[in-house]
Amino acid sequence: MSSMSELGRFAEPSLYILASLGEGPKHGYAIMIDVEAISGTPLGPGTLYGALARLEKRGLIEALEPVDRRRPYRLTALGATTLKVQLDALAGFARIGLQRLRGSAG
Amino acid sequence: MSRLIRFYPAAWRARYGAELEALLAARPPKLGDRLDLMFGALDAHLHPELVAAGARAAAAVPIGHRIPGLAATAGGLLFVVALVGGGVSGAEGWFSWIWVALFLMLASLPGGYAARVGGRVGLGLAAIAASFILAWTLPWGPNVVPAVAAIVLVGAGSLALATVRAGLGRRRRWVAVGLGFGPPAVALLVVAMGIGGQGEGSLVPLALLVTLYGVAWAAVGLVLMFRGSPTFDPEPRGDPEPAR
Repeated sequence: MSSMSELGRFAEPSLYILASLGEGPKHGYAIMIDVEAISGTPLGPGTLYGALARLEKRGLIEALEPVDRRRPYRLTALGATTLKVQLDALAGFARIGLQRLRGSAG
Repeated sequence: MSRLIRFYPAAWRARYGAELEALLAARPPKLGDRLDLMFGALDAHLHPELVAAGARAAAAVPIGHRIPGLAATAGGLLFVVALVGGGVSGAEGWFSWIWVALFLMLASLPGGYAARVGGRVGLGLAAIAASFILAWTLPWGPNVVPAVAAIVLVGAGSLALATVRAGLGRRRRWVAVGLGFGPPAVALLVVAMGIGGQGEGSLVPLALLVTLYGVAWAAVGLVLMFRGSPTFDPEPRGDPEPAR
């Protein structure tokens, strides 16, 4: 399975993009708006397309037929699996971190 | 195309340029976005393999799609040279090249479009033939009105369509069409109303005014030739909106 850490500085934006595509296909602008809503941080257009190119190369997303000049992207099966693994790992990390925080507070 | 996108490698622009341009049209870039695009362009140059792998769906532009741009550019330049040469020297031989130039200009776009949409080849060829016959049969010289009218009327749709196919922004599209047809239309009006007089000498400034038509064609042709990718996309274009 493809490791997100291989994506370097594009790892975090890529995870947001995968999460955005988790609810269905979107084109670049819609991804950008959605990622900003999810993360609270604007996603620059250069970073967005740098991440999209890497995700596409790794087979985590695939491009659909363009509508006008807008080309939607969707998760592949590998992309959905990768997203789930990453989110599970983050959930485990958050759970442990919160438990320890509660432990130190008590 | 946004100047910022031009910093990206050509292969990258062919793959992602149109959609990124649509994105920037929907959300004009702020300073931070511009910097982000500069870094993105640098990254794209450092990692050309990204596009090679992701280019399956990209429309590699066949050389055949660049030929119409070359024809439009050559026609536009020839049009200017013929008019200026004829206007300065007064020799009729120069003006005969205008027919060749008109053929190149008016045939370039329908020809290129027909090459892309195979089912409409007949329509494209008919447009070429109609343009050629109309241009060829209209006399130049003393009867300047019908010739200029042909430039304004026959060429209007072709150049307007060419600016769309070239992917020019609205502002540049209006500039190209305005330069291409405003001055010739004024020249037509002046000649038709007899304001310019009937002497040969009085037609020279008007002929020079019409050269802007050739300049507009040459400029649009250069864009068609070098941009390539979205040029003959037969799909309609609209203002980008989020699609969910």
